[in-house]
Order: sequence, then C-alpha cells, then structure tokens
Amino acid sequence: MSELNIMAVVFSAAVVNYLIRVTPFLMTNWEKVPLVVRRFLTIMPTAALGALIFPGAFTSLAETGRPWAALGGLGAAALTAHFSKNLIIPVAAAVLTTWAILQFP
Amino acid sequence: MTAKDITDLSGSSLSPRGFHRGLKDALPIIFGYFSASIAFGLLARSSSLTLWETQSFSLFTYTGAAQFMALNLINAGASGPQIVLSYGLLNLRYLLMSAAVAKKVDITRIFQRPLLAFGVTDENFAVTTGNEGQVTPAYQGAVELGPWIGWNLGTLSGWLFGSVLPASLSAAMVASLYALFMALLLPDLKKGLPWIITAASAAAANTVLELWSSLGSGWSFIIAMMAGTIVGMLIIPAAPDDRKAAA
Repeated sequence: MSELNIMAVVFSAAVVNYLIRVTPFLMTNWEKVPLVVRRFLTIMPTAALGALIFPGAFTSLAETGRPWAALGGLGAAALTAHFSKNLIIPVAAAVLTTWAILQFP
Repeated sequence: MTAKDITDLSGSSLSPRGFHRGLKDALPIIFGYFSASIAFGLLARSSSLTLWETQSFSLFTYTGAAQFMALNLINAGASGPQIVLSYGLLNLRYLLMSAAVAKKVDITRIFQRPLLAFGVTDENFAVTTGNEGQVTPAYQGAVELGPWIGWNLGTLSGWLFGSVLPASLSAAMVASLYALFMALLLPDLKKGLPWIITAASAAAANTVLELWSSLGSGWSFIIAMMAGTIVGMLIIPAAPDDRKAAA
C-alpha cells in the first residue's frame, strides 16, 4: 500500500469525474434531442434511486453483522417522507431508528 | 402545476428558484452528507490515509459512493489505474444525471456551464429534477455548494474526531445517505404502479448483479439503472409535457 501514490489516484479520479460531469453541460442543443432520449432522462432518476438504495443500504451495514437494520431505517424514512415534505425529518428518523436497532444485544 | 409555477416565478420578488431557496432545498442533503462523510473521514484514517489525502478525495472528486469504494480498493491492495477505472465506471451515471440537470437549469452566462458541472451528485440531481419547471443558475449553485461544504466539513471532522464516536452510531450515520435516497424516491412511487415497478426492477437487478455476479458495483449499477429505465419506458404512459420539459 505504501507504493500506491494516493494523490495521483485522487487527481486522476477528479479529472475523470469532471469530464463525465461536464460533457452533458457543454451540449446546448437540447431541442434537437429526440423525444425517446428525453423520456429516458425523465424516467432514469426513478430507476437510479431504486438501484442506489438496493443493495447498498443493506451492504453498508455488513460490518455490524445486522444488514437487516437497514429495513428499519428505510421504513422510517419512507413513512416520515410520506407525511412531511421536509427531507431532514426522514433522514433523522432513519439514523435514529437504525441506531436504536443496532443497540439491541 | 406548470401554470402555478409560472405565477410563482413572476409574482414574487423573493425569486422562488434563487440561491436561498436552493440552500433551503439542499439543507437535508447538507445534513445527510455531513454525517455520511464523517464515516468516510473515519474510515480513511483507519485505512492510514493522511488528512490531506482524505480531504482531497472530498474536495476534488466529491462523490459519495465512489470514495467509499476507493477506500475498499486501497485496502484490498488495488493498483492506481484499477481504482481510477472503477471510479469512472461507478460515476458514469453522472453522464445521465448531469444531462438531466443541464436541461433543468436556465443558463444565462457561458461560464456557468463548466462551474455548475462540477458539483452534480445523486442527491442534488434528485432535488433539482424534482422541481416543476426550470431552476436558476443561482438555485443550482446553492444546491451544489451547500452539500459540498457539508461533505468536506464532515470529512474533516470524521478524520479528526471520528474515533470518539461509538461504532453503532457511525454505522447508523451511513443510513442517512439511504434515507435521503428513499425520501427522494417516495414522490415517484406515489405516481403509480408503473413507477413502482421501474424502481423495483432497477433495485432487484442491482441486488442480483452486485451480490451474485462478478461484474463489480460499477457495472452492476449502470446495467441495473439502464434496465430499470427501459422497463419504465415500456410501461409508463407518455406524459403530455414530455415535449415541453426539454424546451
């Protein structure tokens, strides 16, 4: 590990990341983009969020030995998000719920 | 909804899509990033990264999941090119997210494009695209800058003070990231069964690919996201303002 130049990795990753992020911004002629592509971009967020939650929410808790605690956190987040438009409430509810579940022996 | 939006934009002097509104909308992300990046700072230090190396990840690459992945790879003894390639693959999704954001922002000056491209993330992308109609560059700037500051302060705090937190609390803090995703997804789920199926198929595909294939999380995520979107395009009826959205 001592041979790995971390700063070179960070720098290269930053350049790669920026190129990915900036390319779509430099395209200006969105009117010419076909309807099917625009439809793709409209629906894509929903699919992305689904794939961002599963299985990440569970595998991120792998080290605690209780990946299922994520169900409590996600449930609390969904329930509170249903009643409140303020996103802080679901975030706080999920952290508290997950933490509470991890407390049980 | 669009008609109401136009009234909002012209009827109020408070600029409903301006910098302050952006900060307000970004507040939960700032909170969520702060706690999640404490975990990053903590893990980076235990992977024997220096403070500057750790902070540089957050300052310059600013990408949640990929930073955690990079730590895993560093610990696994991966080579530099392997880590950078995985970074690119895992973040290919920003190509699509950045495109959706670029479409949402009313760019007024040319320099706004390269600047606003820097800070697009999963979460602020979801917040921006969740708005009805267009947003201003100031709004988008706030939605990117606020969370970037939160992410970096959290990284710093995590590296410096993270070791005093009980393990269960730092594990629970990672949950804030997924709670945010869930809260952002819920309004889509309420749109009806086709939307639920779209999210569920992407979730199922990603779970199967990530846990039981050798693709790695970068490819798994990209394939699952594409598969879910294609399912959605097949079953979600065309909305009347699909055409207007891009104009």
